Amino acid sequence: MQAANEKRQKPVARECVAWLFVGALFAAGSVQAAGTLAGREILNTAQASFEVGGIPQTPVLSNSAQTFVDELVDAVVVNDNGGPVAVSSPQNGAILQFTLTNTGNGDESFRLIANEVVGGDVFNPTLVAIHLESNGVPGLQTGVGGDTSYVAGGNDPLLAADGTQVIYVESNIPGPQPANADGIVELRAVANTIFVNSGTDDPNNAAFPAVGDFYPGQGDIDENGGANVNAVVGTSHDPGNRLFLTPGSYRVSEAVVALAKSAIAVVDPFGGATLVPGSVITYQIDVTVSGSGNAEALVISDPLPGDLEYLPGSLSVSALPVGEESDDDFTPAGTDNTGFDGTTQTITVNLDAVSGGSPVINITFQSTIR
Amino acid sequence: MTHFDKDKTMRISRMLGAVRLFVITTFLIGATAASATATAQVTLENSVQKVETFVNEAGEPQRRLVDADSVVPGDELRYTITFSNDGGETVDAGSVVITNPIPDETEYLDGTAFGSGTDIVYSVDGESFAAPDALTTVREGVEAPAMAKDYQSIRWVFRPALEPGETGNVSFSVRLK
Repeated sequence: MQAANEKRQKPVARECVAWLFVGALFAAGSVQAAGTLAGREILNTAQASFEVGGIPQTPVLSNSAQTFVDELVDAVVVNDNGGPVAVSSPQNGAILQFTLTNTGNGDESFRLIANEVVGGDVFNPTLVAIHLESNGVPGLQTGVGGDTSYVAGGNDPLLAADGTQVIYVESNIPGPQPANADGIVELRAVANTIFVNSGTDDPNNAAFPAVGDFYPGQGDIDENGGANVNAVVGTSHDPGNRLFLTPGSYRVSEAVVALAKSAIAVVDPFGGATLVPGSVITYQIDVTVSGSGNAEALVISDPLPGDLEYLPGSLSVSALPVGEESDDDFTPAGTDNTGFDGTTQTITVNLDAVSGGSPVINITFQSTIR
Repeated sequence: MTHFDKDKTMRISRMLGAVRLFVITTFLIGATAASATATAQVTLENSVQKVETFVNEAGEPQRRLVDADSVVPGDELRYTITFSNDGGETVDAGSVVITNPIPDETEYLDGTAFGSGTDIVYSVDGESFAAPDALTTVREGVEAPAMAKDYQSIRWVFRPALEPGETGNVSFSVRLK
């Protein structure tokens, strides 16, 4: 949600939608470092001293044994969702998040393929688009200033060794599906060095390379600017452990929580609507619970960035009885645990159980730009 | 344009490097010539191979040396330094000392240094050499026994005399980081 706060430069009510997985943190996988960069020249020179008749002679040097480091082509795709993503059925625009890391040792661009027809699930999500995180704001944003739509072969992400790219797969969930039904989408990243040289991006195609296959002169340029080193297919392509692809899944939930946060008003110290220190921004978070069941123990948390200061007394929650919405009684030992926690600079609203199809709950609060 | 300029700068700096190398080479040749009154001359030849693990017909993993044409991080490289007395005089026993700094981007593999008739010592600073037991390094502020990957240089002291026409070799292995 910090993301939406950071978007305040766009003055009026530019809505920004984010999915919040209450209580679940994104588990970003750590991946192995790439090692010595492709194209590095490894030189080895020995020296010898010696004496003849007790007289030290001028030391001699050997030639330099030389070898160039080839480009290891490796990729790891990690599912960032920490488990199945709760969706309702039907639902449009359901997002899975993945992170691609170039675990090779050279510069490499990757072709991204999402495959929704995989076994082990109940339904096939309908793929809509792949998006590349590109605007620096966590989560998928579309439209002006939003993230970039991916076009295979058009804007394949180019990553340096150890470089990462966050990827969003957008799908529509067909309906009606039973509660707890899973739909799996598999995302894979195929290095263009492999795609171009083998002619396929399908690991089940006989032409897809094996670990250790190498393409002469198809790697990065050596550090002396001389020639392209070889490209070698790395262990992430082991058929028994394909790290360059990973599944993500949607799970039809009895209750799905959707959050939409927007800045609905800006008042600057001069009565205008510019964003300057002292301007007061009114934010609104709309909480929608859909589905047939209840969202239990629903808690909405919104940490404020350091440059925003909460305006005491401004929190209002449409669903809470008068008296529980005030912000001065927040304490872990308090009565309703709803309010602004100055220690963590976080607005917390405890909604408890909310049944699917309930009216949209509006949370509003104001903050001042420091 | 940025690329072009950068390339040009790199090329110039590489040319300067080449010029420097040339000067050093000339100096060495000059030095060798000056000491040519003593006719003994030791020459060194340094070569590199890759240690490859493969599965033999019996299905067992086995190791072999292959050309180092294609190396990637994690590969094991074996360097062999051949020394010869190309001169006409005997080189004194115990006087041939071969020193080889561990190449950049690699780490020494424990127990791989070898040399028939040599005593082998190691250095963690490239200056003082000792047997592995005597080497220490500072790790997180505490002095601790040095490990193979801490070694910066290897030194072989050839015990016998090296007669004219005689040849020997020493070797060691590293892993490409």
